Amino acid sequence: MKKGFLSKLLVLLIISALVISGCQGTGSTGKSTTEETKTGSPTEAPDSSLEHVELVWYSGVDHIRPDQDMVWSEINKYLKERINVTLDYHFFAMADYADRIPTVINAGQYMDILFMGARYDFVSHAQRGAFYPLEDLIDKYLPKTKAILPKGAWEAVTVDGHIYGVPPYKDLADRWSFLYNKTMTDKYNLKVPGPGEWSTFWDMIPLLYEAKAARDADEPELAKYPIMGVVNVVNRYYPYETLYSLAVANIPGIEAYEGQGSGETVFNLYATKEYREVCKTIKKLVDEGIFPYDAKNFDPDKALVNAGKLLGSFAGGYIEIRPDMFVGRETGLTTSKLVVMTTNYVQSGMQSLSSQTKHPERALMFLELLNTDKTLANMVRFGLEGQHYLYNDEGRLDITISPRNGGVTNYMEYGYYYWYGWQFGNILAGDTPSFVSTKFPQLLKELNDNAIQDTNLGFVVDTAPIANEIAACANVIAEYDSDTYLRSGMVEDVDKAIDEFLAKLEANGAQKIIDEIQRQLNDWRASVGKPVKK
Amino acid sequence: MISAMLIIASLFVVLPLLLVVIISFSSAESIALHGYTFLPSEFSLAAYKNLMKTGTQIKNSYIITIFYTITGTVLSLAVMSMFAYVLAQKRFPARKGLTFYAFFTMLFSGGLVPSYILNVRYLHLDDTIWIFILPSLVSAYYVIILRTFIQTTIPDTLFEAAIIDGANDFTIFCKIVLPLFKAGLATIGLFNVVNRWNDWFTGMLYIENPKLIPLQTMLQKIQRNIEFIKQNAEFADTAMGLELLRSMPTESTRMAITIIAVVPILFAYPFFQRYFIKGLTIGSIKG
Repeated sequence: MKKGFLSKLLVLLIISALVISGCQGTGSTGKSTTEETKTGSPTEAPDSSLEHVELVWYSGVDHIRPDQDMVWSEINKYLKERINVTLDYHFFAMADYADRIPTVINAGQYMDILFMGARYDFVSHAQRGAFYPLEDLIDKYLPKTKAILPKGAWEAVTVDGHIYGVPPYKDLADRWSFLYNKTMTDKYNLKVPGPGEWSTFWDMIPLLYEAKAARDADEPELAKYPIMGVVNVVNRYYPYETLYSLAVANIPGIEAYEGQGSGETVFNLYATKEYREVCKTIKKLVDEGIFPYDAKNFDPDKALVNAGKLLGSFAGGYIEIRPDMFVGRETGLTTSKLVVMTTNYVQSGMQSLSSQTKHPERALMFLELLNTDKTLANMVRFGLEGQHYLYNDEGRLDITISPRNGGVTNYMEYGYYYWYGWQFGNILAGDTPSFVSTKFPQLLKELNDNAIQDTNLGFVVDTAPIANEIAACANVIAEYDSDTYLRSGMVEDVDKAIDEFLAKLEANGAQKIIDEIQRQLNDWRASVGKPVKK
Repeated sequence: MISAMLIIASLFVVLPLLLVVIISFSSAESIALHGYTFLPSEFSLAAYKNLMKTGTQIKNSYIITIFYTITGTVLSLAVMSMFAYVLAQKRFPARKGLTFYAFFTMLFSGGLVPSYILNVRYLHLDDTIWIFILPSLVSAYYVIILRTFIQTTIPDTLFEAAIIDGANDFTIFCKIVLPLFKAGLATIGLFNVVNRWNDWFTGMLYIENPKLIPLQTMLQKIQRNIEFIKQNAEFADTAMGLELLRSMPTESTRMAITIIAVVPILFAYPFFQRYFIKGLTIGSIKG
């Protein structure tokens, strides 16, 4: 009985293997024929000088939208009409993109355009020749984009003298923002420093104590909970410019680190007294119940945030917010007077051309169109008119009254919506949505134009001479300067831990890193005519 | 004494799983206020309701994962057992060469980037269901285990007797080897099922089409997207990051997905188990 079953199973297996291998054959030929028809289809070019080109585009997006294919097939029709280009788009959610793109680049996969950023190792990929240099093509193919972007933005994506990316026009400079629970501050009569009335997190600390006292007096059962999530980014306390790893420099005009020059001097961030002070402050705020202990596991589902039991959160890059962004209460925004354009901030996102591209001119024509064409920009960011957005009575673009995006309360559930997606070029190329004010473009321009530009925009460290020291120090830094150790407040004796930390850094060649980067910075600054450290 | 130790050992295994089950039934507020506990202050079915709402993606992934697992395991067992049978035959001249060929890949493998290049640029397996089945069809390690199993449990004299009776290799394989071989097949089959069920990396690297994404990859994606946004302060800082964080699935939803992903594999064990016991008691030469 059993024997019969097994031998029958085997026969079945063999048959299915044959059938499946047969299917595989037809499957692959089926695929190749469709490819042929795709590339071989007769092109009805409006401009006969441009032959039809299909560009391969890899990009990360914040969330894959269900109507992606529906919208992008329309976009492809439009692009074909305008510049006789269609896009073979490959979009991934951000984390998937970060996982995949290094392998895809290293494997030499064919691409024309790819989304790049500091977190995908833009600089090291650029140094290894992964991207197509753009500096000679910009004047011809990106004239309008060049005019839109501030000069500093182009400097920040220059590596070893070549421009390797087209940054989007969005907030290109970091402005400290505090989003607060306005319902709470009104209820307890708390005075929040207004826009431009404060500069760093230090100015907010008194408010936190007041808010906690007021809330706990009102609702004593909340006394064991902190008043906000932890703010443990050293930059938010004492701004600096990261050059590489532990090597940082002061930002001219702010000079937060005493006695460390004004941008021309390289110093070890962790050895400064300011760093020590920040760690001690975080510990003090944790001990006094302002910040949560074990911040990583605090309120994982945002239940306290959503219930409006916390004061707010400290962030960057905000221009305007929706006061109704949290259900059931009013949210306020106050921004600092410090606005800094750093290499890292600009490099957070851009579109680069792959060094393999066969169509650099056409790819740039597409990017130029993306940055300047209103119809295209609206389709890319908002989807299709009548489906994903409509124009309301005031003539503003409104997604909330559209058939496919209307009535959605959860950001993940929009049919198609990428307004603030920085993958898609100039945010002002299309309409601004109805939930921001008509002043938005003006405010964005002011932010970018008034930014303090750190003087080392575009300086890139050649890590080859100090690769071993950097790797060794990176391990030490990961161990000590982590959001579960020194910057978590979960450390017994801050002084002792920092001394230990510095001793280990020293033993692993921290000074050599500083000296080498200082030398490279001196050369670079001399070459662009900026003052050099004496 | 021994049973006390076994009870403790099994508690180590069962309790974490039980905790996951309980968290999946806890309300978000209860987790925020009290952390993970075996006795949550408030039970809630919200996580499972949420899962039902997300709708087709989970159902798709579930079906496709079952398909990958079953098809992959069945094909893989067929190919590997036939390969192992051949390698176990002393009268097969290329036996040593082929064994070495299989063994060599255990010592030196291509690595991630070369396999990616091969699979994508030459074999064009990316974004197809074959990427889950073909590259993992034969595992040299399992082939060698199966070969050894045949060599040690089935004496050569049995094969000789069959040949004298006029059986060809295919008959021997079907009529003699397979029935005596169930314990070995069941073991490797179970390994295969578990490996294939738990494989998230293949889907992460090669699949774009949401219809083909396996369950484990989907789970991993949800988890990694949350981690990514939390870790990248710049991103979480922007308006978009905050909105994303706010609408991420809750802790209990993620636990509920874990439960859904674990349950089928729990049922796979008893199915294979009966063959293990038979394998111990069965033998080819009686008396």
